[in-house]
Amino acid sequence: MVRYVVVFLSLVGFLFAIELLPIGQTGFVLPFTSAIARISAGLMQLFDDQVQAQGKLIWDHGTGFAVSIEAGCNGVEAGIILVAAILAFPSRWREKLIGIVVGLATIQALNLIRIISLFYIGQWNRTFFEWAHLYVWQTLIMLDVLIVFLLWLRWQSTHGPTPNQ
Amino acid sequence: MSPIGKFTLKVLIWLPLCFGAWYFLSILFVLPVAAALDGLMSWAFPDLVRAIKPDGNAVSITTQLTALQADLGAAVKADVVFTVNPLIYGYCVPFYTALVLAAPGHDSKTFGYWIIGMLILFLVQLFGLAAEITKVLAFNINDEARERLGFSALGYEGLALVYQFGYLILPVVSPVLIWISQFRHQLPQLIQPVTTTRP
Repeated sequence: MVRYVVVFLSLVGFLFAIELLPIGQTGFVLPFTSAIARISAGLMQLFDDQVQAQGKLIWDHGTGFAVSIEAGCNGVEAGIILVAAILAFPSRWREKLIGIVVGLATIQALNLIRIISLFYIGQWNRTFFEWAHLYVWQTLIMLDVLIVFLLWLRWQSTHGPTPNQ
Repeated sequence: MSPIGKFTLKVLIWLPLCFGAWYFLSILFVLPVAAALDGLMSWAFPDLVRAIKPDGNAVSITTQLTALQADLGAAVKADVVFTVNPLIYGYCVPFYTALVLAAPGHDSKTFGYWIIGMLILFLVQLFGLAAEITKVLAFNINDEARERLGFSALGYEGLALVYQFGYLILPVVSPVLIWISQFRHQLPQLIQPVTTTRP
C-alpha cells in the first residue's frame, strides 16, 4: 500500500508539473480547453442558439453572461489523478491502457455536463453557481474518478492474476 | 445492484447531508484553522503578517504592510488587510465523511479512522490556505511585500506550483487517498463481480 501511494503521488506530481509548464500549457492544456469550450457550446446550440464560444470562453448573446473554463474546470487534473491511479496499480499494460482511455472518456463526458449545467446555473443564480462550481461539481468529478477506478479494479481482476502480486 | 452501485448510491445520499452539516458548521471549523494559520504565518513571515483571524466562515489576514488610501478627500495610511475563503479547501471534509459513511463493513474502528482522516484534512486545508496567503503576499499586493518575502526567482515559480497543487490537487485527492488507505481491506467486498444464478 505504501509503495502504491508513493508511486501514485510521484506520478501525480510529475504529470501536474508537466501540465503547469509553459510547454504543457501551450501544447496541450489551452488547445484542449478551447476544444472543451467548443464542444460544450456545440451541445448547447442544439437547444439554445444564443450560445457562442471562442477560445476558452462561452457566452450567451441574450443575457451577456459568460464563463471562462479555467484550470480545475477542464477535467485535466481529474484525468491526471485517474491516470496516476491506474498506472501505479500493478496490472498488464493492455488493461491499464483500456482503463485510461475509457476512464478519461467518462470523466470528460461528466465534465461536459458540469460545464453546461454551470453555464445555466450561473444565469439563474450566482450563489448557487458559486456553490456548484467551487464545491459540488469538484466533489462529483472526483467521485466519478473513484468509481471509475473501482470499476476498473473489478474489471481487471476478472482478467486473471496481475503481475508482481 | 452491484456493491459498487450500492456504494455510489450511498455516497450520493450522504453527500447533501454532509455538505449541509459542513456548511452550517463552517463558522466553527474556521476557528482552529485561523488559530493555526495565525501561529504558522506570523512565525514564518513576522515582517509581513500581523494577525490572522476568523471573519464569519472566511479568514482575514492583517499584514504589517501599509498603503495610501483616499479617505474623505485626504490620503491616509492604512493596514493592508485581505480575506481568503477556507471553504475552497474544506469541501474535502464532507466528501471524505460521505465516503466513510458509505463504506461497507463499519466496525468500532470506523470512528477512529474518521478522526484521523479529519486531522489529515485539517493539515490539507492549512497547507492550501498558507500557500494562498503567501501567493497573495507575493503576487497581489505590492513591491514592498515581495521585498519582505525575499524569494528568489525560482522561489516564486515554486510558490506558484505549490499554490496550484494545494488548490487543484490536494483537496480532491486527499479524501479518496485517505479513504482507500483506511478501507483497503473492504475494497475486495466492493469490487467483487456481480454473480447471477439461474433457476
